[in-house]
Amino acid sequence: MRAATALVLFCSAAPAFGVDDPYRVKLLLGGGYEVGTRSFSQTVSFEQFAEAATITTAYEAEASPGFDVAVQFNAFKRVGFSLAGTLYERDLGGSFEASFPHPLFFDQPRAAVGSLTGKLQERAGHASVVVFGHSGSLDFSGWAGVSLFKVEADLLTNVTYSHAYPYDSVTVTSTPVTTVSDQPVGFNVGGNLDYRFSRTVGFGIQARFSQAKAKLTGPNAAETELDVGGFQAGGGIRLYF
Amino acid sequence: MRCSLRLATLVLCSVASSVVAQVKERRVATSGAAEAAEWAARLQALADAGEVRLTRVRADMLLPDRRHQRYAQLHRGVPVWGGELVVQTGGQGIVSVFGTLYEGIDLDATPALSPEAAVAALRGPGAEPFGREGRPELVVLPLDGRYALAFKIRARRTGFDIRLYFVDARSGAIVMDLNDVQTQAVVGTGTGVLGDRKKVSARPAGGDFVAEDQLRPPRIATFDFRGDLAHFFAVSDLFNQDLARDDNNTWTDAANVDAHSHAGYVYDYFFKRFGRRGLDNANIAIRSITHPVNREDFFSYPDDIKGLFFLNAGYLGDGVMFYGEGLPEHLTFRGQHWNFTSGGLDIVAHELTHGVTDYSSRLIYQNESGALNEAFSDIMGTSVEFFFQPAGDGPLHADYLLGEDVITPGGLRSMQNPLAYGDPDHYAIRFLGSADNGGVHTNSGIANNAFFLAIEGGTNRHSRLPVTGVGGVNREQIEKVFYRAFTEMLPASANFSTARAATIQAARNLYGAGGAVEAAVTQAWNAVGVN
Repeated sequence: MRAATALVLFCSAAPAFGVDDPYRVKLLLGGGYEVGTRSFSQTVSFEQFAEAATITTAYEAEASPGFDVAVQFNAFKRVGFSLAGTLYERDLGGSFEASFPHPLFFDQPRAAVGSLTGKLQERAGHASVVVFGHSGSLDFSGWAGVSLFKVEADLLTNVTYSHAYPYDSVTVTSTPVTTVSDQPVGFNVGGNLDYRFSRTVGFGIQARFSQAKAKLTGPNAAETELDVGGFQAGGGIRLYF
Repeated sequence: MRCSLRLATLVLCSVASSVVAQVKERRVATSGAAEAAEWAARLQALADAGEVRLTRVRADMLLPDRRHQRYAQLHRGVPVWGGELVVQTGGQGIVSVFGTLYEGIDLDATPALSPEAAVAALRGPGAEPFGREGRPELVVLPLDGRYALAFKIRARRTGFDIRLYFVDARSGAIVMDLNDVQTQAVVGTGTGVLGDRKKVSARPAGGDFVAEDQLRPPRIATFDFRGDLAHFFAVSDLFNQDLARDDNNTWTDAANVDAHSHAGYVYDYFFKRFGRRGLDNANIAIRSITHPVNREDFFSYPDDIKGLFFLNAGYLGDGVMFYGEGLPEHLTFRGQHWNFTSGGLDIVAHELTHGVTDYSSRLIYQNESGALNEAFSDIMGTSVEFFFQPAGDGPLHADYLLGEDVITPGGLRSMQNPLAYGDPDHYAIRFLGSADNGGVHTNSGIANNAFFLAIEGGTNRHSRLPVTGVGGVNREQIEKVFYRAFTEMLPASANFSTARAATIQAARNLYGAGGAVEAAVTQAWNAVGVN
């Protein structure tokens, strides 16, 4: 966050370049890496055998590569705006601890533990104000704006099990997941540094920090909140028009 | 609603492209008018694509213009186990859709295994196809995050151990099995005679629930005669029409709750402690009879009926028990209040143990063998209490009194101090008359006290001989010794001396010759004067 802010300030203070070679539109095509793991948990309670059963699942999403495309419109001498889209899909691992009531006795719960795998997908659209500049073949910019996320996560729906008399233990037979989603609104800041090979083509690197708070409603209306977005670093082709 | 629409969209997408490795379970729950209208087209699309098939249509029993349709999910013509949509329709079309659809199924629906080979795979666990659903049915089974093509076969191993087996249609391995008896069972709650809340294993029947345990291996059923003694005498057997019944599965008839649940507890004790499967060790049905009379009618009955059906409980043979009604609250008998006898866990265990004896040593119910028969029922009755209840005084606590929770104060007998109830605690002062079949409920005090001393230790009041018991934490050892001797080693005509020899032998067999358990048992019999 601090790094991204500093980058914006740096870019804002940079002198104007490239007056002899202006462009109106820049297309950024590339990929990136969303760093850091993301953890959240969810507890589901429901009635079973006249008592409360609980399943608590701890999820951890791994860092992942993704896609990043953007188009930048230079409306003024140093100021423009951009529309960007990012797609990151993280592997989502989970471990659960479940407590299932005994069918014949109160207060004699059976415990079960296990793991599951799924995906956490973050799609985001970013609308930003851009401050840009040139220095020879170098092209740099910084931006800040709003982000609209669509988050989809595979959450544990249930834990099915088998048991047999005397029912003092259970054997987990399946852990079905369901995909739940949310569309939170957040923000993003970032900057990039490009090198132009020619009038129309270049290569650049960029960094973006985005964040929003998603609320995922799982089975039995169990809600959990998680931060989405994060620090993304990457690069790609630049096309100038 | 928004979420459901998105789910529905995804469902439709899956029709066109279903190549995802992981199991995706989509819950559908829609009842809004707009969504319902969309579902008409979606259902048709799914049906046209062969993704669902209408399996049942039923008229609504409460609303005349409504119908309920069930659609099974298919994958290339094979049913997806658990995939189903339930659609309610009315005059304006679809009213609601609920269900589960599985997505991302990418599976060849051609089995490598024949149905006969799938049945053969059940030989491993020793199961045989059972009933109409015993015919192998090919299904797509969501399992452990993947889909498997499997044959579903309902099969029975032994008795009521009936399961749904899923045999992998390629490898022949049993990939899942579910207890299919318990799917018929429902668990309710009830309040017992002492106000304690417990679970009641019942069965739905005609909109009500009946006291028939479907969770334990044997049939455990409770029959409520609702005070109709004439009916009780008239019936030649116990029929389902007399099963104890409750309309909402929150059982409030305390006598029924305890007769039913306590019978289950006793089955559990014998299974968990000794591995015994019920009274005959072959899961014979356990049937309990409650309310043979009404308390309020106490004064209208002759004394023999009062003694039997108000102030008693009994084992009738063939796994059938009856439980006395107790006395109206304002009455006492010999200074004691009598509650419903099924409320005493030790009483229920006592009666059921008569069944165990009936199917094992068959101790003759007369003189010393009869006293041993009664003592074994007291011993197991008390042991069941200690298995399920914390040790201590007062209701719902385990102690060495018999019937103390429902016959107050004091209960009927004491194993610790038989003399306090007029029963002998030493062979030298045994009852020698002919009453009570030669004192079967009296002389039982001798063996009862031996059992107590072997566990807790102490001194016999008559002989003053001390005993070093194994201690309460090791009570399981003495329970097993007495169980083994009384069920496996005693002849029907055993006397106290035989019981002494058999229990000592059992102690040696189980815990080694010359050990603390043998010493405790030997000292205990010495202390009560049995040589």
